[in-house]
Amino acid sequence: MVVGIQLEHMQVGAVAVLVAPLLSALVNVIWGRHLGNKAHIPALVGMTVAWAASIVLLIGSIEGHVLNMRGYTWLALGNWTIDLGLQVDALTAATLVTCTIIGLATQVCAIGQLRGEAAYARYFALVDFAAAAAAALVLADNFATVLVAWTALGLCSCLLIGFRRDDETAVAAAGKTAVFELVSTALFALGLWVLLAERGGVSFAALEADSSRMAHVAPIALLLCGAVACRSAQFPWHIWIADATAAPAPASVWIHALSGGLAGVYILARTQPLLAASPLASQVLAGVGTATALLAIFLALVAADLRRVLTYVAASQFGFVFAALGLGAYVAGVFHGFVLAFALALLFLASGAIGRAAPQIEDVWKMGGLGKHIPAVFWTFMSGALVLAGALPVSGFWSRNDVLTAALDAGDLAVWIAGCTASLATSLCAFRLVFLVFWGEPRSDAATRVGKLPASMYAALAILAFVCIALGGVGYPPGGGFINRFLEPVLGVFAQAGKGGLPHTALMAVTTSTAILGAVLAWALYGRSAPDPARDRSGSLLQVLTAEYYVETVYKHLLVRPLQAFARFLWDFVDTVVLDLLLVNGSALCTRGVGWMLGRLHNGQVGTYVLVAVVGVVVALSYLVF
Amino acid sequence: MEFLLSSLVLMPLAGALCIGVSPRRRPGLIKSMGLFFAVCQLGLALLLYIDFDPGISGMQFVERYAWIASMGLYFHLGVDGISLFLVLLTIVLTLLVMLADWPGVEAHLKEYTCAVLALSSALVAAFVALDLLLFYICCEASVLLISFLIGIGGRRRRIYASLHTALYSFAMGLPFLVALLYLADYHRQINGQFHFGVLQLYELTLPLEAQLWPLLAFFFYFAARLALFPLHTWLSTAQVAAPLPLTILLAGVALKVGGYGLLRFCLPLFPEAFYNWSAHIAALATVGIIYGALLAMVQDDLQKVVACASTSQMALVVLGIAALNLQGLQGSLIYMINHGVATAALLLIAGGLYRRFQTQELVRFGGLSQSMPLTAAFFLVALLAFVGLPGLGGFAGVLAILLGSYERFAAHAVMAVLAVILMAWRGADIFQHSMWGEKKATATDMGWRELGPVVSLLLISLWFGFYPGTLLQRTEGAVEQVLVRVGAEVQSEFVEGE
Amino acid sequence: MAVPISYYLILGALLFVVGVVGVLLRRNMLVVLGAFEVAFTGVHLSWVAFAHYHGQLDGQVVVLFSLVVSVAQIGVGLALVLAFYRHVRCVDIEAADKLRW
Repeated sequence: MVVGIQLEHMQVGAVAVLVAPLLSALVNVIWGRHLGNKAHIPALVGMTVAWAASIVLLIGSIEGHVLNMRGYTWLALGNWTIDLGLQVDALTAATLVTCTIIGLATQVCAIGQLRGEAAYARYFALVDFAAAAAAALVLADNFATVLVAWTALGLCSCLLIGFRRDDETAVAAAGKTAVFELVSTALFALGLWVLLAERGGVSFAALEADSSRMAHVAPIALLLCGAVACRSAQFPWHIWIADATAAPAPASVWIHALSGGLAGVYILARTQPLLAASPLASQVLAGVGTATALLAIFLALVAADLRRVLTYVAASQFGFVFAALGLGAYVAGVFHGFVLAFALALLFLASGAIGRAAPQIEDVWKMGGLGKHIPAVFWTFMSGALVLAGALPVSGFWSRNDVLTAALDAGDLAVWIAGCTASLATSLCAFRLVFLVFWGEPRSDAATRVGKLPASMYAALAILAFVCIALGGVGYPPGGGFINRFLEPVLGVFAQAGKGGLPHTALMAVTTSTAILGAVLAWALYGRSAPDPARDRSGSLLQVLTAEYYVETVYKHLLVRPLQAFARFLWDFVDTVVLDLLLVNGSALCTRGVGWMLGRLHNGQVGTYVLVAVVGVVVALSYLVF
Repeated sequence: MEFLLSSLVLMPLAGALCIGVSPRRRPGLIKSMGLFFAVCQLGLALLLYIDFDPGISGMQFVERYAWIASMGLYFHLGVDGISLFLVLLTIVLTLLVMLADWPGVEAHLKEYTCAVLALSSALVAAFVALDLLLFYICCEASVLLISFLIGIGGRRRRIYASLHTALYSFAMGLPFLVALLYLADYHRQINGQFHFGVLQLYELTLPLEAQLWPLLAFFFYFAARLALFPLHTWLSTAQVAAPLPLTILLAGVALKVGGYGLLRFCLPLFPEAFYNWSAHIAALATVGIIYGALLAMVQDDLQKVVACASTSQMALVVLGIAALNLQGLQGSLIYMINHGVATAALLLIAGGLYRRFQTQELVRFGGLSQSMPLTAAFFLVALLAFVGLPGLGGFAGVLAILLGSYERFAAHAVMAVLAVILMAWRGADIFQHSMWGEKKATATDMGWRELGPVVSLLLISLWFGFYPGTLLQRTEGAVEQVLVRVGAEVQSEFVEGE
Repeated sequence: MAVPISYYLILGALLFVVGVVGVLLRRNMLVVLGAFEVAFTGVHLSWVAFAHYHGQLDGQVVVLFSLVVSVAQIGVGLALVLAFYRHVRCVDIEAADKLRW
């Protein structure tokens, strides 16, 4: 494409992506109350500018330009310096475009979703701020800026979850999320600390050179992976996402797909030199990712609330991606991450649309037959489900296939089998939703009273559905598609490509068959208006799943309660009794006691005083004389 | 300007005098006079900042007047990178205290304003004094004024708190005074004359055995001023009883005198002994960090939370100092300054809440964001600045301290981070329960007059977060001087790293 | 035959001891004041004895000064006793116990 984008254009573009959402956020913060129902206008303007700028950056990097803008020196302490700046390469541009398209679609959908809410302007301010933070994260050329942006994204997530401030459940959910966001930030900061101490600088360029010779690669990599895993609700940090459904549906896109998903994938992609140098960290990452992929999808299969199912699915799918990154297939992982971001965004927005059309019901078992009332939502949801299931020829198929192939190529049979199982379960889950929500007969009264949806929501859903389906094109053919050519200069080629035992067509067949098998199972279990197979069965497995593997109970009893008890002990006993009473007031009491005792000498009798004087004189004299 | 420092020190005293002779029945006049002198002091401070040369690493604006020359007592003032920002912090916070409304002290407004101005003078003098005895006098004077202010206009248990604060500091100050006199006497033994001037005393090289007990005396005095575990209990008592504007000066500035003392006096005067004890000091500091964070988790009064959290954060400062390298010392310095700014912002909002609800108990607050949205928003930002979120001022300090502790105290640093997480959790918890959730109380929102100072402080914190170079460039020279005195052999320095 | 000085000194010491014991043990204020005088007498005797022994008049001059001072002191003391008596109606030294802790 000869559009002739130069580096100067890219510079302007990079700054625009960062500044436009920030400015619109500020406008909404300061004048939000005056704008009232029109608060979406600055937000849309900002997001559109950001989108256009990201297209410029994408074209520029397709043409091979790499932008490096030096900013200023943030911290200069002796031998250690942290310089801040911006960089745009292929990975950055691709991620930016993904984020801006999803962001724009979400904004458009939110206009219809949140119309009439009192805090309309606040929502758009928060989302714009999150967009600016995401832009800063992706445009950064060093881990310090990434940390600040990461923290800002976490803050926005918490504020979006607690959006309805007077709702106790939302507030409690926000509090729970805050803990995990804090842990994530702290892990990231620790990783940054070790990196800075070992390397003297935290820019991405500093990582390139000689990572294998660096001491402490494993701790740094593990800490950064831990930070990402915590925010992406990987096992065992998954307990906050269930309550996060208190956020408005468009906000869920930000929380689960972008902040808790794509941003993490991006960071891990940037840590690629460290992961490559540390087999331990890669293995741990792959293990955690695979475990989450399996465990979370089982949680999704028994959950009844539509959005909750989607959050579990999101965690599970991103677990897939992390597994791929852990195995070394960076391009495949990042590609799947992009695809997932679009698909999950689509599904969350569709669930928001369903929630707006039929407000009383969130339980899928009370829905049914909605396909007749809102066909557009049905078709877009279907395309999202197809992408998740990995059916040919949509993008989901190509990216998932890449990941599974990589697992086999890396020689990790266990991961491949687990991946196939999870893929089957995902397909099952996706079609379960389709059949339960849109197919068959309505299962409750509310399902028959479906309202109309504003056109803006349809537009947003349509855009995302189109991208979902069309994105497959960049991944074809597997291993050699456009996305590989685009990202490999940044991420490196997968060293073990093609080393697996089976030829590629066989693998593609396996992937497709898992998708089809899942759909068939879903039809069998849920499609024919059958009652909930999991209901009225109080098996122990079901209990474990509903309690999310009891992780929260473990945390509460092993960590939170003892800590609070210990803190209370410290305050009640050590501080109040030992330090304050015994030592401080005690020493004061001792002094007063000694004073009291000495005071007894002053009994007011002149005779006593004279006696003391005489005794004193005698003692002094005898001391002098002898 | 020749007399800049002495005018900076004496101007508030002159103000106190003027207010002392003005009529009691005109509170408006008293308040405006107090404000006037505070603004003048700010003007002089800005002059100081502009004329300060970052390239010079020694003392600037030095003034030296003979006091009792035969005993080596001089009224010796000077400012360098270490004291510059502490002086500015004191002056800015005094101005904010003058701007704030003080409920409950209308009956004693005149005494109050005099005392606050005198306190400001004493604190500034403590930061710029280059004579040990002068420093001691100013420190004790500041404690006396604080206890006086608590006793007259304070809240519950104020008499007890007033005596508690005063006696605590004086008891700790006695060994300090003895050690100080010992140093002057040692100077006399070597050079034939008593001398209290710090710059001369730096030249003394005491043998290691002779350094130990003066170091401990100095350290415990400054530890008590810093509210380091286990000498921290006075801070909770004082914070709960003090009138709200004084809490700003107390937690914002008075604590920093301890940190300043460690950097200016403890470290350069007793380097070898400090180095031998640095492992113990670091361990004590880490215990203090965790202890303060855990205590903050179970407090039910906002002032007590701030006091316990400040205990923890000042312990972090001591950890940075114990690291004995450029990163640790600079980190502790910038952390102290950012702590002062963030604490002041937080306490200004707490003061606003007290004015409306007459209480600081957290259980009484709930769902306040519905009636006070602006306050809620800035309360969140202030809490985030207070716990040191990346992006705001404190984080640069934390990172630098961690960096300094990497070589010798890595395990301590990790535990410190855990404690910071606990405090951040508590901060989020406090915000969630008081500003969100079920509505327990309503009040009018804070207007721009009340929020203006808060916003300016938070903007300063944001600036320091994104550009800590403002602080680092000016403190670097002075800190390097301290390290030179500490001696190359006791410095722990990284060898690798580019 | 000169009386050895030790006789005077011993007598003076005895008088002094008697006086001190009287101050410590007697309960009547007037008697206490009298005992003071006995002690002073003993001291004066020693002064005069030393003066005679050394052949100088300094000791006797001191005694004259001391006598004047003791007279003044007795005057003040008796005035205090009188004022005390007016309030408490007795001269028991143990009744004066208000200046205590």
